[in-house]
Amino acid sequence: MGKARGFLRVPVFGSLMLIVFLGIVGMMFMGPPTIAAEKKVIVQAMDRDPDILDTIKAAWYSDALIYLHDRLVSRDYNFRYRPGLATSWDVSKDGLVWTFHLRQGVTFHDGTPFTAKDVKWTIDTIKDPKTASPFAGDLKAIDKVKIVDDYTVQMFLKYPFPNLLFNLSNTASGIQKAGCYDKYGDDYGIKVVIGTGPFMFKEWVRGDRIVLVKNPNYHWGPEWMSNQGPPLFDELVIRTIPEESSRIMELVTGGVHVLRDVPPLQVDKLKNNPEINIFTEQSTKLGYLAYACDKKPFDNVLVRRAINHAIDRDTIVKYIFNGHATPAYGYLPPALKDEYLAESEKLGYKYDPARAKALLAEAGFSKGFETTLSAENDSTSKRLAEVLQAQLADVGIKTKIQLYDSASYVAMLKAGQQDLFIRLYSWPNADILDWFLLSSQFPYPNHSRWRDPKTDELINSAATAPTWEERAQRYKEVQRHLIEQAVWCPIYIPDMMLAVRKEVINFKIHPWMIQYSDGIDIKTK
Amino acid sequence: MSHLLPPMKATGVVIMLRYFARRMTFLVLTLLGMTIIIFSMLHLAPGDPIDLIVGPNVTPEVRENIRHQYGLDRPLVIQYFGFMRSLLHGDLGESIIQHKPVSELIAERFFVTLELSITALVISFLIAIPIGIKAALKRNTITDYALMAVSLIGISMPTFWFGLMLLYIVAFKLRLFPISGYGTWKHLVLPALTIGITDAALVARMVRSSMLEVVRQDYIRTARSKGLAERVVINRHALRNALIPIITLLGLRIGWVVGGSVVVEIVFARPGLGRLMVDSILARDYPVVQGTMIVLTTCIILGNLFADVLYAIVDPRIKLR
Amino acid sequence: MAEEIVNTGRPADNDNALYGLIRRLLRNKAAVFGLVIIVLMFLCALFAPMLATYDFAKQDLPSMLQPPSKAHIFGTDEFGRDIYSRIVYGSRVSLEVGFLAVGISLLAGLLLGSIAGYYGRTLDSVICALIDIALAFPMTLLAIAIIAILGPGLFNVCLAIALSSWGSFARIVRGQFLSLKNQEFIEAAKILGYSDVRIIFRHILPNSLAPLVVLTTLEVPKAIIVEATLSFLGLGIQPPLPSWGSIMSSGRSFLFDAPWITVFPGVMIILVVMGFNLFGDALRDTLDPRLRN
Repeated sequence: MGKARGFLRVPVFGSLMLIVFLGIVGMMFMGPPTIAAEKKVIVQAMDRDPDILDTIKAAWYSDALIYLHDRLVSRDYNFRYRPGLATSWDVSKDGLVWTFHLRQGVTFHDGTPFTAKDVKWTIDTIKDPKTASPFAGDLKAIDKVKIVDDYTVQMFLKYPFPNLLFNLSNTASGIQKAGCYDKYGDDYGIKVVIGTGPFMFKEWVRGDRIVLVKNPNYHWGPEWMSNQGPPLFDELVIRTIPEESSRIMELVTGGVHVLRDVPPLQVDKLKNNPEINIFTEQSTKLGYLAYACDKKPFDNVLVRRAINHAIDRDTIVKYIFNGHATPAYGYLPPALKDEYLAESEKLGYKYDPARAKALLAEAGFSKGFETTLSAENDSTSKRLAEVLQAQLADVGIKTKIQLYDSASYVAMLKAGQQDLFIRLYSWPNADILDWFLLSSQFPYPNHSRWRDPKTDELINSAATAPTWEERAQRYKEVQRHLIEQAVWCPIYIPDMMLAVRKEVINFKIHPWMIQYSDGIDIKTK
Repeated sequence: MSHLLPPMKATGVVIMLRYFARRMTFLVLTLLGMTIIIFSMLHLAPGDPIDLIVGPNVTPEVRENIRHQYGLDRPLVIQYFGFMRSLLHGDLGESIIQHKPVSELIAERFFVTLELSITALVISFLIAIPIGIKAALKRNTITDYALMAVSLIGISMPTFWFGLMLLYIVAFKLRLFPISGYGTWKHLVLPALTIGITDAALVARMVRSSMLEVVRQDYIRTARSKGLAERVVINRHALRNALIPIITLLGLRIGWVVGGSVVVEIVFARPGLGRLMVDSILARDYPVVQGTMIVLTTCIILGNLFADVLYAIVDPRIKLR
Repeated sequence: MAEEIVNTGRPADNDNALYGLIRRLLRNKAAVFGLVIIVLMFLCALFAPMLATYDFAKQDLPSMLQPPSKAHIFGTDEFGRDIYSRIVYGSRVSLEVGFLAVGISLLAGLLLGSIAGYYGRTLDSVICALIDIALAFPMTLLAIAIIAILGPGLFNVCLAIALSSWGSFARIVRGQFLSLKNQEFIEAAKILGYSDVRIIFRHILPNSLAPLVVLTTLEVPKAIIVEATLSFLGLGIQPPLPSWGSIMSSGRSFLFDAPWITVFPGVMIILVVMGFNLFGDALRDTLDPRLRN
């Protein structure tokens, strides 16, 4: 009989257990009560979490790295190169020796001073084969770095390289503290990040968010900013939300304040939302359809040109991007004012399905052919792939679509399994053409599998041009040749659109990255 | 809970121990079997196992080095023993994409999934038990039909769809809870409710059946004929015997709940093991896939064992077997 | 109380029992409701081209992301495709996967279960252990892992689901074999010199039909849900092929402004799964209430 009473307790016991459990969980995760009204936090949403928060070792650079570190050279709102951690620089007559004069009074987040040895350490470590830095190739022009004194550094180049300023202003060139690897070992880039930037590293919950706090000692902001001191708000949180619709819903409900890369289909709906402001600018991106040029039938220039004629770019811009893009006929975005070939549209291939069929017939494919079309599985690429499939089918090219997430897409391209595939690059410099089309980059990142001596010759000549102007000229020749050879089928240049909640004040759009330390602030309730 | 057990006699202890020994053997065998299956998955896959371990962008020499290093050029049985040795030392290999030990990646996210699974399970049983009992007691009345209809809808819903609906209506339109993320108890509510409610739908039916079985038994009729109040009959006799098999259910549902949390973590962007597994599958990061599979199934099997042990403690009849 | 089917071992004697069974089944309202849904779904799949109002693959970009309206009763997706038509055609894919997967499962279960139950001893122990392990893994998780190895695609999805659910079939077949193999009519057949194969196929299997039919009816809806989950994760049916899961997967990005893409396929799944579950439960109750456990 005694046994029976025991089981009355089960539901009661269960409820008690639940209450206790929830209480413990709640206490653990609510943390100390935050006085929300007093701390100013801006939240930005991203679609992926970085592998590591280390500019030297990362293959993909989280936005956080831009705010944790400063670079020798900064880029202003007109994309001009301005002083950063280097207050000025001189180049020798032969273009082989660059002397950088460094800013004084700069300290790292741990309080130690910034000096020339940190610059040397950073660049040496990037170039060290043992580090296996993905950025090493970008600095291959540098032969060695010499410390002249605490605030002067000289870089000796193997050949003239006016583009060095671009590379030194890149996220990957964030100046790190000498010896941080020895001091922190494997923790560096995961639990500890030290830089000189306007924000300091607080915590990284893997897969969920990166929390940065303002650097109260920061007073060396670039001169072109309206604010050279610490950021006006307290915390910057970068949240990882893989689902596109969740990112937008978070923006609408106020869980997130800043969204980069608004999907074009949602832009108009967000524009009508009084709580959200949309900022638009010409982007430095190019979306294109590429071929595996060493596989039949794409090794035939007639086929490549035919496909160029088969694509109706205007329809794509109108319906996939809701008009928030520009048709592309060339290989660089027009935003790169100096290097962009202005006649790209004139020399490019217009929409002309009849001509496409004629060219295919000339190449021996009057009945068309079958192939695969690969793309990433984000909403824009998926839709673009299906529209391209329909347009190619109109000229007799039957395609089977294969979708991948970003990591497996890269793996697939490295393995060389692609035929037709969609790509989008985002890069503010003409050397993107080196990256993708030099035969030395075969098979990846030269996933077009394009090995052409003339292209190599033109690109190498441009990359080693002695002056910026000469360089721009030669890159225009490169573009001319690429258009003629129809190496890619350029399709669109998307507008750069950011969605920002109205609580965020003084938001300005910057051609490269959001400059949170330049006077941006947030209204608290 | 000592009043639940009859006075322990020597033979009683022996029988208990024998039961435990049997269960432990079964446990070890199941775990071994699971490792064999997961291990052989690597070799059953089409293509060269090397591709799955190091990825496609390595030179042939590095390939052969890695092949030798991982012992993939040795007979399968030897490979299996090597695999088990590493496993028992906690070494689950290294991620191809992130170049970090798999065990580290798993450790970072383990608690997230654990928290979700346990909360979901508790919610499920808290909802299901009262509903099941009520439906059984009011058998064939409107209440019963209504409750069972709702439960039928619950078991017919894909979990991810229910999660999306909750997300859209409760989090987005009503703004009662966060849409995604991890950190406070608020972030746990919707994901746990998603799994908890769909699981409860099934468990409620089982509770109802069990209750109905018990209520039909002779000893209940005896109690009633003795003139005891219905409430006493139910609470003292029926409930306890009906709930005993439900406890084994706990063990069975753990597997389902963990499986459900894989999808729910993706819908609600929780950084847990399930999401790690699916992301790694899409990224072809095989060592991580293998590692998370092993950890998840070990937890499920251990969970089953826990439920069995609980059952044994609670049901005195076990000793007679 | 349910009448038991008297087992004389000869299939012919069961015919009258069969008619009685069908009559009893049809008297059960839930069974009828479930059966109606199942039949409707079959008809929908069969007559899809006639029921659909648009071509499921036809893009109509200017009409993309429209809410439900007279022209498009379930609205349109991001390509302007009619959701209703895609759902109608999707019934084909979902049914195909459901039955193919369960079919493979059934065959595998039959094979292994009969070997285990009939031949006994070591074979039985080994297969029994395999079954226990197979049943220890949750279905969705196992299916995901198998797709990880095989890659996505319709056939791989069927294979993955089959490999995750064969255990239940094997267990039942084994149970049937164990209980039947010692019955008198089997002894008689052995004495008469019938071969093992003949005994299995003509005597034991037909008498095991009942629980297998019930299990099949209850496993098909599980297969449909797992397929939807796999496709939703991007691991199953690839676009543009419309399965209810892949429609929801492409609607994922538009939950914010076009939730109908995700809602309607889900509702369809609920209806169909409910139908199978209702019918299967009623079938089980009618055939033998003892099967509940």
